Amino acid sequence: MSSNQHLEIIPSNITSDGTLSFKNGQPVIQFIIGEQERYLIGQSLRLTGKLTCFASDGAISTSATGLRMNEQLGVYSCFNELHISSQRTAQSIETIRHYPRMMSSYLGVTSSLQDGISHLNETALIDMNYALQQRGVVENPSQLTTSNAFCCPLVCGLLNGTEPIPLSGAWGVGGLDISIHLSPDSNVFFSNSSLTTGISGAFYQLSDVKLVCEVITPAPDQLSRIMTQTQNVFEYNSITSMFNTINSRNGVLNFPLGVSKCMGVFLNFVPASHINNLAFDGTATLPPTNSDGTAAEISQLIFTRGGERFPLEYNVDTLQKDDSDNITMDSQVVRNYMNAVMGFTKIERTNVSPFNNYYEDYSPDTPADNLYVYAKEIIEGGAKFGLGVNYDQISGEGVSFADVPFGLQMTSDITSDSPQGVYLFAHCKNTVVSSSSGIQVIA
Amino acid sequence: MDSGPSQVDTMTAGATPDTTATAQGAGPSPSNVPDLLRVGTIPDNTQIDVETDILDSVVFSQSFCRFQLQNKGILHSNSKITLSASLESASSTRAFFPPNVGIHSLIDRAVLKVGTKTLCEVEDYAHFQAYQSLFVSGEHNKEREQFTTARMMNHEPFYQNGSVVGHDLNSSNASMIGQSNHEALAKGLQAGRDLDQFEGDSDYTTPAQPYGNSIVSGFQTLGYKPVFQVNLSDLFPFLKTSQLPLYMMDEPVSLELFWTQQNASNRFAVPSGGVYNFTALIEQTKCQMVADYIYYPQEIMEQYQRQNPVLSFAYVDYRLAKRTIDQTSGRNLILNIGGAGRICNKVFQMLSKDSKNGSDSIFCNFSSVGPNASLGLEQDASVNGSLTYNLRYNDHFLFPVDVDNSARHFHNVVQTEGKVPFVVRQEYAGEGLVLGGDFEGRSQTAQLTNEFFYVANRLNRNERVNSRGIEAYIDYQTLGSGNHTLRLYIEMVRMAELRAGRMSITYA
Repeated sequence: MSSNQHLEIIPSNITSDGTLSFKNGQPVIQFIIGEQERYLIGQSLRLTGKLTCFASDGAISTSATGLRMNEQLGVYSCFNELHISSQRTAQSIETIRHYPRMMSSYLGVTSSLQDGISHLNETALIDMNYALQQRGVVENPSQLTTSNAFCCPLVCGLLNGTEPIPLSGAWGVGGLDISIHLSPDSNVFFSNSSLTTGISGAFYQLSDVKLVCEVITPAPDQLSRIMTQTQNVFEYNSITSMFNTINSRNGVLNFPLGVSKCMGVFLNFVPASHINNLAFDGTATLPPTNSDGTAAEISQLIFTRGGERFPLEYNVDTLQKDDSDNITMDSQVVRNYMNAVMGFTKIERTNVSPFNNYYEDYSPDTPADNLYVYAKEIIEGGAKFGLGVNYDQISGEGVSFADVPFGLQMTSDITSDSPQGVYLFAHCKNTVVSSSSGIQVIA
Repeated sequence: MDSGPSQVDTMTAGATPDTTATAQGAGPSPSNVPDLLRVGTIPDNTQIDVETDILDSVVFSQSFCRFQLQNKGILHSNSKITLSASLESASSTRAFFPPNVGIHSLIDRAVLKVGTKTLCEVEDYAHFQAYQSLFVSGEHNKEREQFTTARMMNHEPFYQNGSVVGHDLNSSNASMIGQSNHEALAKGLQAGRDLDQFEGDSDYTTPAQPYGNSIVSGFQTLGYKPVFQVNLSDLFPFLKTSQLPLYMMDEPVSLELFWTQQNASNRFAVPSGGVYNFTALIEQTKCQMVADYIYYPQEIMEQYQRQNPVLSFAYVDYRLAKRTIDQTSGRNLILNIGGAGRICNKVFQMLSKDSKNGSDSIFCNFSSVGPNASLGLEQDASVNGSLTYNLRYNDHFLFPVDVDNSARHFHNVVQTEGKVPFVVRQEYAGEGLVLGGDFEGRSQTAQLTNEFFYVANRLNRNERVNSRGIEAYIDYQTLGSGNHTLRLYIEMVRMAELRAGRMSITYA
């Protein structure tokens, strides 16, 4: 009979004092799950450790400092990129760039207010109100001695799959090399106002970082049967990520996805000037805005594949096409977005609601330097805006974008010089064919 | 992204055995008769009748009651037992059931017997149920459980009151007055009624304290003699996946409930300032069993019985190991908790402070305190307030390195149960001080902090535990003062065999 074992893996590039931080020159955490005759249970894998948020060297932020991090992301805002490759051949299996932005969409669509306020609070230092997260994590007064413990899953297609991952060099991926690229401090932290006084030296530090997981050791008879195979085929999901900007009323995006089984595509936005800017939340998923903070409502969307409308063979005309002052998010846009992140009918818990997904005027109020301050104070986890489209809800085989590009034409009310960063994530199905000579990843 | 039921913290279910009934012996070969005992959809258009009996207890006292089931049909796992309690005193003292376990606080032990044989037994049931109740979501508690079981653990952010000077970030802005602010500096229990932010205040300018007071509805207080219900499958968890074929049993099936001691002050809780000088009496007339018996067409039931002359099924039962510990004995404790020679799936533990009861805690004694999050007690301050934990069986530790990270303890609970506890970080490990407001006049910060520190681990090696049993390595590094009771439940696999109407029960 097969049996399971727990593994606990220390980073292979751990520092002498056991702490890791972007500021101090350790931007990458690397874990190696060695090649072995076992299966990895991807869903059991967790990154565990402790997070300390410093306003400056040795000092914790107070309410007067006004240091914030994205409440819906918690510790996930510290992980900028997730890269998983074969340990044996170093071939890339899955890479997710702009990881916090992918997680913003994923967590917003698939977890509820109660999830965020309770178990995600414990495991990923998330909370569902900005003030709660600021007070409970960033300003946690006992951080200097106890830190903020976390133990979070590394959400990605490979590890979220239900199939165990073969680690063998002969009949599997040959071990896994999991690298986490840390985010710059200036994209993790931001000010609760538009002023950055007193937070310019803010940084985070991770300690006691480990990767924990369960592996399955096959029974001897099962193992001997597996080892007679000359090759093994393993299917998994992956997330492909891309970045672009738009800065006109007629925003056109064209991405060569290069994948043959694309299940869906979702996108989120942030003003490009907010990225790596302590005055703004660079991880927020805001609707498009103009340079003065006014909403740039989307009035029409066209999704294309190879220049043809696909899969929606019509233009999505939103509520704002007829009434640009309508702040309500168009229900078809919201539904398509959620459906792209996770099949709409499979979503049992979500936090996307009219309370956190609407158009708002973020232009200065009183005082005059309050630009985008309201964007940081949206209740229930912050803004949840996104676009997307699902390509396959039935067959599970997806649609090929191997030779044709994905396109999006978006008509919005961007009338000023306001570049909008657009992050695209494509959910794909891949195959790893492994043999004693190596592995082949078929996207 | 939707690879399976991929909420962030879900996983494949634990190694709970398949409790599908299996036929043995020399019966006829299987036909297309569906498995009637399997909970779930039957792939057939079979007509089902459900007959409901309201059963009174055959024995009842203020310490014990027994129900006797009729041997007919198949017992529906969601049959209920209704319970009610009232105050002995004529005074108008306010009292309510603990919000985390509700009416389950009345039950100390639950036993299911077939003839004279014990099929399933849960000791310290209210503590057991306090653990099981972690996994009921806040929405579910708020919208359903508080009416059915009096459980009401629902958390919500407490937004600042825009009408109160000092609450509003921009209180000089007259337009904000009276509006709900978007800032929540605290969160806490919200039982479905609006916070009384103006309690004791006549001019609506200075609430009694920053976030108001959350109180339970009047009908939920003992003065109203509320009637709540307990699900059979809550009392005996194996019924979540199996049903009892009473019509195939010749022996009487009885259900025994031992009540929580009257003088332990744990049947209910009182608000701040409440006087706990009376007892709660369990109402005999309202203590009834609502038994649902399922009937399929007679020929199918008879055919099923003929087809299964020997019916055996695996199920899980729980064994409790208890020990009293204090600050000193809670350090570096190695405790043999049993399980020798058994197939065990999981171990979960809780630690309750003995001095706590309904007069000073809204959870009475039914909570699990964690290591204190106070500073300066440990030389190594980075592990301050932690529990170091491991299990050892069959000469191997479960974890390669002892676990001391509180978030990982939490994760292990998730892995063990395959579902997530709806518990706030401050409630679990005392970290991140964001609880606020009052609940029935008691400070939620004081009442909830560190009161839900449950630890659970799945024994994942698919091995039978050897004769040495399971040893728990426990080190509470900063335990509070006073005596505590450490409870460790082991989930074991047992086998029941129904042969010619007689049930025999063995360990797997």
